[in-house]
Amino acid sequence: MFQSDSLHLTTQLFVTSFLQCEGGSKHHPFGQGLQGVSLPENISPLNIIQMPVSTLTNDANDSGAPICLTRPSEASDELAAFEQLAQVVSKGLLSLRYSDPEADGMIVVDGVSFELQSLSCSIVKGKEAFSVRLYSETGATKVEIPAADIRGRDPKTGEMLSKDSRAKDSQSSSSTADSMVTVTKATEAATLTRSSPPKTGKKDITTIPINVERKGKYGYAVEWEDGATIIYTLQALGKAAAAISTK
Amino acid sequence: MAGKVVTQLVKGTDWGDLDVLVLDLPPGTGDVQLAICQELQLSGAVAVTTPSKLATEDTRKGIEMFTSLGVPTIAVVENMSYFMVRVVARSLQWLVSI
Repeated sequence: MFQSDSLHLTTQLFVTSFLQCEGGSKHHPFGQGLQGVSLPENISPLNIIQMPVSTLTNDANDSGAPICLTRPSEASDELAAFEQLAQVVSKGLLSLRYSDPEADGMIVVDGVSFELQSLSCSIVKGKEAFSVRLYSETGATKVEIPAADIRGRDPKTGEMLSKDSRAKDSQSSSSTADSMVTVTKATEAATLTRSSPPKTGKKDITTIPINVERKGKYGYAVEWEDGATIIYTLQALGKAAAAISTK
Repeated sequence: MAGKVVTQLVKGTDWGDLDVLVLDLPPGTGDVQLAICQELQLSGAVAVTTPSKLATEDTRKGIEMFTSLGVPTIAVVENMSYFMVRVVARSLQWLVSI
């Protein structure tokens, strides 16, 4: 390409072209990797599979014949690493599928424990409320939560917010990866309505949900009439359901 | 933009009756990863990295992000982790044959 543009190629640089060897042993030319990296307490110890720098693997990639299928006898280290990876992943997936559901969190509603991952949420037609359904191996329950109750809670923890922090949230435009709360900027009219008490006869548009959508294993995104979209964790919705059911 | 394209690909494709769907994602913690975690209920993640400090720091952030979104990291593959020298030689060409 460069030559076709009349640009002369002066030098070719081959990165990691060769290794200076001190003797027959195991070298870590790029450092110790993840072995010394500290992780938060909520993350389980990592299953680290170390793949060696390998001319055999490189040749297999170039030829298009996967080393796991050709299985050359001199590639014992490489094949052992691939085998370890297959075992760890298959064991991990089976463990996640059939392990104790409490690992994903439980919520107690009316004295019965329900799995948080079973929670489903929808808008009740004709009402400013959410219908939250929870399931367990022995039964199910449905709780109707006023939309104003949900809007008044911390989207991550489910704790009730103070009025000051609610007003601050409604007027801000932020997206934080930590709390996974996305608040899009409300319209000017909505902000005005939010910052001042609703007039008689007019609905508070900050408590009218217009759409709700599941977001992976994390929670539900609620789109509000005032233009804000907030993702509530399953824990927050479960906590709201538990609080309503005990009232 | 990238997130929307990925969402369209994932949700607009008739995948048929699958046992496992493996998604090979681009590096980092960008829109694609976030969109995938929010649009799908992933069973778990396998992180792939190299031993360099920059790569491991990115990997750590990725694992934390996936964990916060409810996706456990099943394994971490560390490519180019080590080089086993089986013969005593002054230098070895290890990746490129010219």
